[in-house]
Amino acid sequence: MAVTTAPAHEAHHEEVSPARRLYLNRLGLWLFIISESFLFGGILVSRFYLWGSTRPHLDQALGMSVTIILLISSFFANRAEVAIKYDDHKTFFRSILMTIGLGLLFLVGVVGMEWRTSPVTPMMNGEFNVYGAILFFMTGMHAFHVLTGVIILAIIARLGKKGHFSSRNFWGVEAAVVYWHFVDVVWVFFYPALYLIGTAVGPAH
Amino acid sequence: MEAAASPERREAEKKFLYRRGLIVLIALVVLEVFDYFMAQWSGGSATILMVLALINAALIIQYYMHVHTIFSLEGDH
Repeated sequence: MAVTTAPAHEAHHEEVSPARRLYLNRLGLWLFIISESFLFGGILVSRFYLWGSTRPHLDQALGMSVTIILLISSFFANRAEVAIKYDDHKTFFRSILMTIGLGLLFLVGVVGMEWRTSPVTPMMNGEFNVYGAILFFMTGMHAFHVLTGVIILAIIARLGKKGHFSSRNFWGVEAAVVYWHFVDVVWVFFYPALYLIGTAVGPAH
Repeated sequence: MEAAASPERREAEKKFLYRRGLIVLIALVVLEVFDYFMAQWSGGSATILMVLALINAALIIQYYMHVHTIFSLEGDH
């Protein structure tokens, strides 16, 4: 007698409760964040290895400004997450847009201004320059993650506008926001490493 | 979040979380400015500045990233 049964993976899928799925999603996201931490940790170590207790002359006002801009963007990201978990759609949408705007402003500050006005570049006078290389690598890798975060937040904003998220379905928002905060955490270490630690050497800003 | 929570209670919780987010932001900005002055005072000491960065990171991870919810089965903050 032929017996029809659901495939094993489907049967397993049905057993997973929403709470357990949320737990697994969070675990997966944090494992991803830990793997990213190794990448940024390695970059930070290379800064200390190659620059030691020195650093290039960088625009201090610009460094502090972009740092505060990113911190404020994290505040709005947190506000968006809280808002959607309490079905406050208006605040959610406004906060997500503020986060995206501040993220773009950060990119303008780092890529548009710091890169353009930096006294060091990876190649100077036909020779490899370690200050320029590390500066552009650290800010470039971080800016790439900020850009990725902005794109993800834009997708979340679009889905949110269509009513995709609510207090019962907020994982997409939470994941995007936690990723955004991670990018902020990375900058919290990169800012002193680039702008504050050690003695300024080389060409002045 | 409790499904049975009254609208008033949910509103109060939401306001509390908004306010907490703002307090954390103020603390982070103050710490960053403190970072800058500590760098001037200490001559750019890596130890002091990395400890301050760790405090900043801990605030973000605890209050914005809700690290404590990883192993919980709840959707709450």
